[in-house]
Amino acid sequence: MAEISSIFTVALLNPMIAFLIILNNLLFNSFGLAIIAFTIIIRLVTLPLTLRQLHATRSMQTIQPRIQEVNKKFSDPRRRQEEIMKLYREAGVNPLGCVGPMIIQLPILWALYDAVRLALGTAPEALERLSGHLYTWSYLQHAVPLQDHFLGMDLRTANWLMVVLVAITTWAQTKTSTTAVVDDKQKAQQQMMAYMMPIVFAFFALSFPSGVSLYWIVNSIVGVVFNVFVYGLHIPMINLSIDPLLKPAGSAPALVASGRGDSAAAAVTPVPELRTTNGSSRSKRQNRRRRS
Amino acid sequence: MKRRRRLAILPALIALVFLATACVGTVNPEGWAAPVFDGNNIYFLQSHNRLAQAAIPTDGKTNLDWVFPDKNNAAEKDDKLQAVYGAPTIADGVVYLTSYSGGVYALDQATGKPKWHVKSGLISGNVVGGAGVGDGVVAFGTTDGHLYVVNASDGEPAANWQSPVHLSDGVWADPIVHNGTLYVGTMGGNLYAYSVKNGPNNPLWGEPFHTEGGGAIADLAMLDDTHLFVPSINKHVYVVDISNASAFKTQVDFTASDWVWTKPAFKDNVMYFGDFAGDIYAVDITAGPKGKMIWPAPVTSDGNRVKSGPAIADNMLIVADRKPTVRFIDLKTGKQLNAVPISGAGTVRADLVTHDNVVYVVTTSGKLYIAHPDNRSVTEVQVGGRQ
Repeated sequence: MAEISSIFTVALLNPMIAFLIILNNLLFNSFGLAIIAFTIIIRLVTLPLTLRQLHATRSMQTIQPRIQEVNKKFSDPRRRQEEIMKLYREAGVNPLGCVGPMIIQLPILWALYDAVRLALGTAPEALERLSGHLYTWSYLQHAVPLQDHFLGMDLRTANWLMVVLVAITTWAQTKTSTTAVVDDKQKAQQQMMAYMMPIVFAFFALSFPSGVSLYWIVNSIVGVVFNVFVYGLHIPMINLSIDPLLKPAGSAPALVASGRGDSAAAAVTPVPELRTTNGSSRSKRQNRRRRS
Repeated sequence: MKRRRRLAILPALIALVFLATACVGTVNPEGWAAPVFDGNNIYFLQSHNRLAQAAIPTDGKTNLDWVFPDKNNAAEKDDKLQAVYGAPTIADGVVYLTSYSGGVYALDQATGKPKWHVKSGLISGNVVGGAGVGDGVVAFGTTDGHLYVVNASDGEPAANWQSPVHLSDGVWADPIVHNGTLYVGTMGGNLYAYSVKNGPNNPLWGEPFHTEGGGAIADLAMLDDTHLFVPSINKHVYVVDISNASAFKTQVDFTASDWVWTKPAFKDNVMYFGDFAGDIYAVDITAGPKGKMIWPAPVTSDGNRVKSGPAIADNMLIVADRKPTVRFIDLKTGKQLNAVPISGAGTVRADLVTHDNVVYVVTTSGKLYIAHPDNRSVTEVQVGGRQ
């Protein structure tokens, strides 16, 4: 366990702290700006992973009606499982596709969070602790202690405005990542997530330094932008409709890229035929079979 | 039924959040104030937020006379120090105490009751350094770069110091009042000198002393009557000659292996200190502009950070590292004669203090130890009385 922690520190945490301080030095010694730039850069670097995750999630949601049909049709669990796996194969969907990229991103996000927390120590002891994570490069060493105020806000302590912004941006990210589902149970789950996530993260923000909240807010805003690119955005109330800008190769189109008010329409929309780049209704594996 | 189950998830999630918060919470201020001796008494932080007066231990035992704030005294229930980093200063029957977020106090030395209190609401930022006391004033700085100078008698702003001075960087080191001059080091690497009498408008030096690259000055101490010890987290230790009040002279610029954030021990023109790489040095300040190590090589504390200032007793240098281990080092040769680990008492960040030829060590959990140079042992002081 100590070795894992040591690898995490040497390979991820220490480089991230160094990077944050370099950004701080470049951005007018403003640690707030450094956090914003850092979050955006990290999100851009991990963009391929994020897109894979979003596409996988969308593809999974697209075939949900057919999975439901299978569930209704087959009572034998083993047969049901086989049919569902067959559906996944046909759609070219890896059921773990949405989990894998998320798992890969988790250590990066955790290190980022730790880096912000360490660099913005709330107590003199934190600066002492930071010394153990700084490279012996004078460019970094001379920058500490870092400026702990940003836009009149103490980045070391919790701030109510940041708590509210964390809740709002988390809600926005959750809402923009939900697509239409036909199953009532799933719909209820999505709705609960849309309200629970902001509450949970607002609780976090209540006890965390504002610098960490700032990271989370920027992270969520970037997440919303990615979601809009992948899922599109439809807000009937203000007649706003943005189609997905990034259409994944090899996955079926979403039923209706919205979970915001037109779920009834989604429920009666016929399931489109699944198409992949491998040909109408065929997966890579099926093509290989045909060729052999 | 389903709805009920969903609702049950809410408190479970909230509980999970609280648990997670506890796991990854931020570092809380613990303080590292060194003990102080006056007359027959010792003053030390019995916990990170409580100052105690006790008789100087005999036979390894002592009893507390008073504690501040006293949790049994209703009048002191609102006095929340949070943590104390600067050693208390005692002058004319008054104990001056700075606290991280509870303001600055002048306590009656006999009773431990406050005579005056500069409340935290009147102070911008947190106070990490101790108080500089002298010439009828008390000076203290804050983490957001404000320097306050108040009357030692009543805590009101001193003459010509009506408003706090806003320096460009935080003040973590103890300000020093010496021969009518106030010396203040900042985390931006500047060292300023002001006339206590004339106030901040005409600093005594045309330009402040500046560390290389602006390395933070997190500690500051007088070596003797004319030399200031200026350590920096840029790995340099400077000795600044202040014999001429209107101009400083950098006498020594010594380079250590890592950050130096401690006070020194000083004897026969040699300063002794440790750094964050765990190296312990003995540098002759009269042997040229870079100083000269009098030992063949630095003594190592096996890589453990040295945050607390060492102390000298009986021709022995006694150093405590962060592990914590107390080391006994021959002053002349630099040979380590013994190393005694302390277990179950937190760590040592407070400077060690010599009194009556033994050295006192305070740990972060408020335990008091005595290092004996004669038999190179460490014993815990049993503290009785009110807790």
